[in-house]
Amino acid sequence: MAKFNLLEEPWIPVREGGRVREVSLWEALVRAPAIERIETPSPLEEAALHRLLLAVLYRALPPVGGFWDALDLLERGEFDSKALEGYLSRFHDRFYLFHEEAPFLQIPDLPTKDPLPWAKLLPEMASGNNPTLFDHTTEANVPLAAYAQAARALLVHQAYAPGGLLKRLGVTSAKDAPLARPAAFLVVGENLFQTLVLNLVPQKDPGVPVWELPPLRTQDVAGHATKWPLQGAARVYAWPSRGVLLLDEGSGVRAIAYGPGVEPLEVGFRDPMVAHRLDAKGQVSPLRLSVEKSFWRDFSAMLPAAGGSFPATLAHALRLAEELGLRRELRVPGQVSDQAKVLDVRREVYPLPQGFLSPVAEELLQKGLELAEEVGRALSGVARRVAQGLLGDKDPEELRRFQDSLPLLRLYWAELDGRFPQFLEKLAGPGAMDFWREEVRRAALRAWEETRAFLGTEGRHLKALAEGERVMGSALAPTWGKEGKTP
Amino acid sequence: MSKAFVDYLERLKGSRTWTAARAALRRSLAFPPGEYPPVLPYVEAFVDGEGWEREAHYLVAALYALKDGAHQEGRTLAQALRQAGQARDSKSVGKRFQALLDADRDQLPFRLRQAVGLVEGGLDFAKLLEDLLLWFDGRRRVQVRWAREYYGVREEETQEEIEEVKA
Repeated sequence: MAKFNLLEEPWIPVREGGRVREVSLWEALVRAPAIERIETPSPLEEAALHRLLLAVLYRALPPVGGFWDALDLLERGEFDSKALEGYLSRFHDRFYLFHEEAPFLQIPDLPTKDPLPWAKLLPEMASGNNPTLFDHTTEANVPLAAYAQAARALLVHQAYAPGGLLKRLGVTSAKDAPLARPAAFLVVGENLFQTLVLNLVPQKDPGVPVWELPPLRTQDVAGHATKWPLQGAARVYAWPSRGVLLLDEGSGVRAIAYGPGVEPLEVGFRDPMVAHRLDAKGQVSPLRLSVEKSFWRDFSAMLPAAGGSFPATLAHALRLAEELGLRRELRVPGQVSDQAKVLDVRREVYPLPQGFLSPVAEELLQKGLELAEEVGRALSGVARRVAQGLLGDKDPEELRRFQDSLPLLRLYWAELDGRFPQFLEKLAGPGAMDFWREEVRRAALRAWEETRAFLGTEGRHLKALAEGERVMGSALAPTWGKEGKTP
Repeated sequence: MSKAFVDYLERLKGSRTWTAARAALRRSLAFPPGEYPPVLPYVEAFVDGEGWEREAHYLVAALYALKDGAHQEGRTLAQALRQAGQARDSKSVGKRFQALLDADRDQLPFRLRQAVGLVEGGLDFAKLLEDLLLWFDGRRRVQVRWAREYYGVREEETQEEIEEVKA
């Protein structure tokens, strides 16, 4: 029996007129100009929902061939509802969350022996080898998920499932879902319509999304029988990474049948939402969020000057927004995982000032980041000196542990985390570098003051601190304007 | 105020009574500050009541006598100790300095006497009195400053530090 059609039932949380409510996929697209944005506490949901909407747009709208098409579309101010209606009514039957033959992004005839709790779909929920980090659900008492919630979890899982042991249907281990490790880049405009167009990067061939193909069945995924090249935004944005079947309990979902999905074949395709960097080995790899540092510190890695590349969404959106003078911000949602273990789920938000794309701004950004790292490295020298001063030349491991326990570096970076957005905003204007140099200096000094207070005032502490301070003086040398003035 | 006290001591040094005063003041170092009656005439006029402030004045007067009135403005005890440590190339000065930083009210007179004994040349006694008066401040700002003066930046080392930090 077909039930809960995603095109008609409300399940996408959006902010509209200052309030958050759930809308259907159809409503989200047709009323996009009136909707402020997709609003969800989960960073992963935010990315996954945008990707689904974009995948639909790639297929439903006349192709956006390039910059000028996109500009026309933005100026029109809404999506062509006739085109949308034509397309969505054609595939209406493929958007049922529950369906005998073709449940959305699922496999209808998965064996229901050994079902898993639905919480398995979300890394934020404790289940399997997810640490009990964000939530204290136990597998024995899984709460019932509402259909809308289950639909979003399904989408998140297909985009974010980390690879690893699977041991079902003849597949021992599964590959990463497309966003399992890279950070996604979303440029957000003034309303959902702008946001979608800004991220609708022109594609030569967006590929065929899963709902346009014959429904996958168990035999297609058993033993990874089906392999598709990981190519085309429309297909990659709604990739069936795992075989999932939501088991309906009449009023919600408690358990799922689970198995392998379509195996991705690596090809030269670059996900438009993903940034790349040149790593130490000279290989191009996607930029990830990391547990210990904020994403901005890697900003420069993706600058073309450093051999990296902007994510296509960022480059495309910036040009468009610049042309029309739109307000925009950058949102970077992602998860941090180690093998199959998810360590953190995060979303970072940065302003994108006018003039951000200019070569001057890029160079300043790069210089600014280098300066922050340089002082950061020097501060870890200070921390080492303090540790040595206090502990003497003990075994290096102990020294390192003590050094890490000092709040110096953590406070320094935390302080700069708060200041970096302002540096970004100033990039296109005069005095950005002077501003940043001063902020870096202040952050270092403030972190040092706190470290002083943290350490104590016995003679041996004072001695270690005085020696640390001596190193501190030279650590701050780079912020004393040796680079000359900002253009 | 501490300046006025040291000016007075300087005048005392110039007077005929200095020899006797010096002997009495030195002798007083064997007693808790302010408890050796023969020195009361020299100091008591500068202090009122009981407490640390009174003791600090007696202590400084006695140390001044110990150094035979070698007052040198601007040369702090921490700086002088650093020079003493460098000249002797010995670790004991450093150890004593650290012990001095941690000294409480009972230990302070003895450790100060030891430290002053290590120093060659004059000291700024006005500054010393000023610092002693603030010795028990909760944030230990005096001790922090002393540590800076003792272990702090030495010009010739700065360059080498930069290289080390970059490595």
